[in-house]
Amino acid sequence: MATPKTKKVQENELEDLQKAGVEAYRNKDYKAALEHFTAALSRPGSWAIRGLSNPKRYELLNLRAAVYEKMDGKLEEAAKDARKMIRLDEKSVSGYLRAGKVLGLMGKWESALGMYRYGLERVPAEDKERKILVKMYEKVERKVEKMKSDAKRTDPLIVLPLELIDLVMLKMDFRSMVRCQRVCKTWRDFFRIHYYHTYRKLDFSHAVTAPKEKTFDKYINLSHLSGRAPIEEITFSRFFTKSSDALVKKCISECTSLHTLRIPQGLPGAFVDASCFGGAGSLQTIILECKVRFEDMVKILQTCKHLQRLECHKVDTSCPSSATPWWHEIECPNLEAIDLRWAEGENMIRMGDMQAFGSTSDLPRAMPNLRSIATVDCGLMRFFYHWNFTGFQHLEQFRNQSGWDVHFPYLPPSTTILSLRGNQLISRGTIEAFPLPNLHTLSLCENSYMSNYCISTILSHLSSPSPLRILNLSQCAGIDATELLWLLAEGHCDFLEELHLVGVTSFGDQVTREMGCLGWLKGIDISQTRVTGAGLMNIVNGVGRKRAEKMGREKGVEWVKIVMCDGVGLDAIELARKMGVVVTYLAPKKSALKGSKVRYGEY
Amino acid sequence: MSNTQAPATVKKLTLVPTRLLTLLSSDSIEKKVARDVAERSILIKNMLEDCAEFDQAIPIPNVTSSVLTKVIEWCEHHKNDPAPAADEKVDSRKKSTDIDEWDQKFMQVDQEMLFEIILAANYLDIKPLLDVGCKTVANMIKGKSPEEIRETFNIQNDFTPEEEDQIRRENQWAEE
Repeated sequence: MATPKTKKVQENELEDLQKAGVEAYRNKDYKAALEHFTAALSRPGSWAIRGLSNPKRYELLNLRAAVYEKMDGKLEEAAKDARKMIRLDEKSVSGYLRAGKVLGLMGKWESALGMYRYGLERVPAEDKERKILVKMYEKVERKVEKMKSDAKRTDPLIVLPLELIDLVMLKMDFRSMVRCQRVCKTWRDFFRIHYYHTYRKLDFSHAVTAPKEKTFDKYINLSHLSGRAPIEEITFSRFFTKSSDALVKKCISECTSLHTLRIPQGLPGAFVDASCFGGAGSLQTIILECKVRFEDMVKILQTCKHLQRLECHKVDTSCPSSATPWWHEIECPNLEAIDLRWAEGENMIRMGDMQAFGSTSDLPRAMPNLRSIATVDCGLMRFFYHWNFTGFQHLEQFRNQSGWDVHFPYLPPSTTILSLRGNQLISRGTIEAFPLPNLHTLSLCENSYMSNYCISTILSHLSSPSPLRILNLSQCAGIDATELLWLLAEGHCDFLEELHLVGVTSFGDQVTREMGCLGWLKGIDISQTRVTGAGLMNIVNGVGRKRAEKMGREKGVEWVKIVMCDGVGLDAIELARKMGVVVTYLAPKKSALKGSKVRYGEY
Repeated sequence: MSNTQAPATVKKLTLVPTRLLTLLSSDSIEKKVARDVAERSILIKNMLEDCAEFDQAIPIPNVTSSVLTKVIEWCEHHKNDPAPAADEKVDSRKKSTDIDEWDQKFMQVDQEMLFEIILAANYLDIKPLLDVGCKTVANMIKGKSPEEIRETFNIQNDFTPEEEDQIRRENQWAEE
């Protein structure tokens, strides 16, 4: 039976409760603050009356929500109060701000953003506090976007199944895989333990500093630990020195599954000794870019019976020949490729030894499966002999670079690629060659003695129609381009796909008119010739018609290289490119290109 | 190769409806696609070989419509690609991470999509697309510092400074 209080007294009581609540809130006594605000909200002065706004109730709800925010596990209550505020007055900013803040605290940032957006639609534009809401909206929007992009950036090791991770890792290099171990524990364990291919190929070619011996030990141990993927390939770093011999020895003796060994050029004076290769029976590929003595190379051939490929890029021949022929004890039935380059300035000394390749029948017996012979600076075919390689019955590729006074070699019919780049091929007298019915690539570039007569003789040894697909006569100044094309037509080089005539100065526009016979031509390199725009158009329109027909293409020719051809105008290049031909062009002078570009801009 | 041009003209003239297939994505959205395009997927190709007439939608249960759209876009662009040469050295192809320009642009998507495309290419058995996807991921890791990799994939560094330093010292040759 309380006496009805006057309105004034009620208001005062509300004010007092509110003040007490705020005071308690400031003193962090949230429980008391909550009691005060709840009490205030239960007084008639703060009741919600349908259809009427009650700023006092709105304020009190806001205060109580603030208290709930601070209390443990009361965020739901805070959200309820904030919702009540919005229901009470949907044109005021505070309700939306409170609701957004609470949702944010709950981690529901997207809902918070939605709440702000909802508020912005309802709060009138003239409201001064609206811009706070706009600011909050923008802030949360940024946050949500960042969270979204963060969520999308995910660790591939977690997202992708293991077999796909394997595919990715196949494309990685060893150094990257080693560095990846520092990303995080998962990655470290993955590369060390789970992905056991990591140590299959130790490749130090990208080393920044010289790898220590300890490092080798550790990797060898780790690969032993995995037990499933032993080390198969080792590429030493460019810090290889003459004292790295012991390391090579150790790697060869400890890695019993090693099949490929690469040693780069290394530091000055680095060379490798044959004694390292003792017990290296499993090696299949050896690539030595550092110096190796001729004797040691022979010993390697004698030791490694399973060898398939041997490359020695710096053979040192400064020691005297021995009495017994060097190929005496060699037996490499699996050897398929041999690539020998002489160390600088020593190309003449052991020529006599290398002559063996083309003169003894013992070598074909020792290496019956040799498919590829490559030699550089060997003087391999010097002297007035026709070297005879027909004993190598499976020979497919023969390359000899920079030989002097070279005779055309006798080759077995299995030969498909013949390259005599930079050889001074003797054209005096006849070129005798065994028939080469399978030859598809012929390179005689950089040969100043080369003549049309020479080429015609060679072509006559190919079967007809000839299977030749690539012909490289670049920098052969002695040939006449017009005659050459007649030759090609007569020699039935119908299937020619690539023709390289870089720097053949007799090549001009008149030649391009004769080129209709090249029905299958795919690309032509006529850089550094006298060709002009008209010639380029002749090529684009006239060459490769048969190819175009078969492929359903508009033009047969796919690419033309005209680097450093001053005579070709940009308009012709543009036109050719529009027709779908890839034109490689470099202007002789930059200023000239600039000038013509300006002219283009004007028209 | 000779038949690449011919079917296109036939299609234009007669508009044979059977040449179009309907694919049904995991979120039940239908995608119409030319048969030769869809057959870049070995999975679909094998399915079609098993039954001559296929007038129902082919369900692709593991792939959402947005990913399927991307995959079809790729197949569309690469429909005339020759089959990878068998004599090409497997090793050299696998190691190389060069990606052709169009594919690079195509792969400029967020990581979520990138991984989805890889998964879809794997499921649909489109080897060249899978290859491009894996190359793209490899390129995000290759030659990068651990810090860059963490940033790229939003990975937390859970090493103590001492632990990290030890790994760094162990592999000194590989560091910068």
